[in-house]
Amino acid sequence: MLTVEQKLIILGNAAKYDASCSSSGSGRAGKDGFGNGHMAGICHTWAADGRCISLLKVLMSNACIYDCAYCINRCSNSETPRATFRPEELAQLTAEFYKRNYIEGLFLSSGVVKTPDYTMELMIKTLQILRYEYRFYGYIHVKVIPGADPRLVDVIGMLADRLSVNIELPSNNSLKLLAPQKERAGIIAPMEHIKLAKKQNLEDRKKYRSSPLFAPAGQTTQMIVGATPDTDLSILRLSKGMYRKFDMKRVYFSAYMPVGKHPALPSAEKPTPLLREHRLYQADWLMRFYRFDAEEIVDEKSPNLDIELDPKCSWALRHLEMFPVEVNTADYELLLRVPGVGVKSAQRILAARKTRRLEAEDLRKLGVVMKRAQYFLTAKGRFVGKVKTDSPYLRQSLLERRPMGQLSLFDGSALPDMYAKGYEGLHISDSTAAVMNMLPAISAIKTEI
Amino acid sequence: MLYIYDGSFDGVMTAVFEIFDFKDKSAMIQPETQSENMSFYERHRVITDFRRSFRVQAGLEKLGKGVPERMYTAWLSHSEGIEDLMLAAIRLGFKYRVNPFTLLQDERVHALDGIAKKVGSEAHRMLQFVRFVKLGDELYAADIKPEYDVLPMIGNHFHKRFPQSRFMIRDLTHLRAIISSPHGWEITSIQSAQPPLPQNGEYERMWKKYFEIIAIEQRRNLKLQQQFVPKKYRSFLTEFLGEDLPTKRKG
Ligand code: SF4
Repeated sequence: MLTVEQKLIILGNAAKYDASCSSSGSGRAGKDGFGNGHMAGICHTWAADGRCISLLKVLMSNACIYDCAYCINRCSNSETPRATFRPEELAQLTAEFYKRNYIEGLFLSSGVVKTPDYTMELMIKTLQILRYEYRFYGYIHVKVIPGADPRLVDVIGMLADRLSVNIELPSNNSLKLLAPQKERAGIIAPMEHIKLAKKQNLEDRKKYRSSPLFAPAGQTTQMIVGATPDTDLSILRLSKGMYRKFDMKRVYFSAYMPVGKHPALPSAEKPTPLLREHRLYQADWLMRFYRFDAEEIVDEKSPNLDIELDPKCSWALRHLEMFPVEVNTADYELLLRVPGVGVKSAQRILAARKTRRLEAEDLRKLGVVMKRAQYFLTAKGRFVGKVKTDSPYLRQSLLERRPMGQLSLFDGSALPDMYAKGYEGLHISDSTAAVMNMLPAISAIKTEI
Repeated sequence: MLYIYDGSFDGVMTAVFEIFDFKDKSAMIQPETQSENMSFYERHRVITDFRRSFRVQAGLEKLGKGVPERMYTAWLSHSEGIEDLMLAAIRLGFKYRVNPFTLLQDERVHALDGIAKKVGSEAHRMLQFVRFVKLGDELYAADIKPEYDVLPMIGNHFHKRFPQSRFMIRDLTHLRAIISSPHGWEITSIQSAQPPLPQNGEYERMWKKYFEIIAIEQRRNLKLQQQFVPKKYRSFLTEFLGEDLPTKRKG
């Protein structure tokens, strides 16, 4: 018999390649127990690889009956030790960690143990203990097991804050090749089901305010990048479709880590550069918050993202005829297209120019990253870039100066917030705002005097 | 004129009210603890008045949502001259009828905003980094050492999260502590010599283990880790305690 600690080690290890750790978007709370969802999400610590830890991320079981080539838990892998949590064990572990403020909640996924239905039942039992016995109101994200009975999806949706179904690989062909027991249709079906169940739930709640929420933080999905020859264009198109068709809250990408030998898999010597994953997230960011379309970012002619430059800069380089733009007159849409101008700084520019016309020197204070923006804008007609917008050296000047490679990626400010913080799209100042919401009414803080 | 207030936020807000009331163009504000060295100024002692404070805050809220909270956050830095930065920003805000924190091209607003950011982000870090130790049934305690006086900003969060527990969060830098129970929470002062909390229970051990194995070995990046968890906070983070012990890494 394995101890809980031994199981935690095996099942934590088995879950660690999962990309998402976001814990935002749920406002669950109750006074009869403990815990609540924090709208902005909280990371509690960062592991030695620099990834945020927000949730206890474990598998229910890694005793999987399937044989997906890219997965460390495939049944043909005889080197992996196997373990399965008892629902009581996992519920207690989650509660004890939560009460010490180690985590925001649970991120529960699983290999297929016996059957998809059996696996889902174990997960449901765990959540029922947490919600009904412990009266736990913290965050729970569950990965739905494809092939499980839709009624089990309905039950678990009432207990969890977020559901996800992994799309796994960017194309059907890749899926056939590397995960022969899974089918695109079997993955799409629960996504569709979740979307409809959520819609139905919203209507029920209009009639009966007390009916429980179904996955209030919505659904997400994840795909492995770099295990197959799929291009960034097809990846971004797929993810655009996921957002549209299933109201996905997020699409996660996970750079393939070589954990298996398969004639169709890249060798262990050539892992997918994290930089590609990073560029895909940046492109995804542009689609969601900067009103870019997938086809503007990559196209049939150059179907892969430029690894050296962020996608916004490379878009700008292909559309030099639009630049430089004048910050005092450009509209919001156009400001958003300027490399180095973010959503926040674009809004600040709009607010600030109401009181007076802006100088180039003001822009840095408004949060504009002049390192990139200088080549693409003017202020009161004045251009301050080191080289002209139409200069043949422009690309050169934009390249990040540090040497390229896996490690150099993460050592600086180029990191988008969502990546590092694991929660959705918050800048420091937003998290400040979030903290502020917790303030007791200001004059009520008299206890301190 | 130099306006001396009692060191409370409502005090500083009352001072602002009076300055606008007297139409005093060359006013300065200081807490009574700081003002001894400015004896050559004409002084006015502000009597804290909640209604006046409230009216200023309501006016600020009209300029922009969350403006009073952001002022409060900056004020919590207790840094020298913070009151004058606040006053300058408030004057500008009322002059242009806009959220003063959007006027970042102004040096003083920019400085004030920067301070609010620092305090706010440290408060957020404390939401992340508080680590409770279980002392008994529904009884917990944690120690923190923040640079700024952020307890007033985090009490509500933890009180709402653990409404059934009794717990204490000790700020060992400012020697104050949050005391929370099902009935409410408050801040009290504490003695400087506090007994350390026991960090060797089975869940502490399992958390450390989990923290260790969850990292992907091939992507080790301690520099990035340090950017998010600065060394100065690690002395009270369970998962970083006893880091020097030999640890075995499993694949
Ligand atoms: S079903 Fe999941 S756990 Fe099982 S082998 Fe496939 S990816 Fe791995």
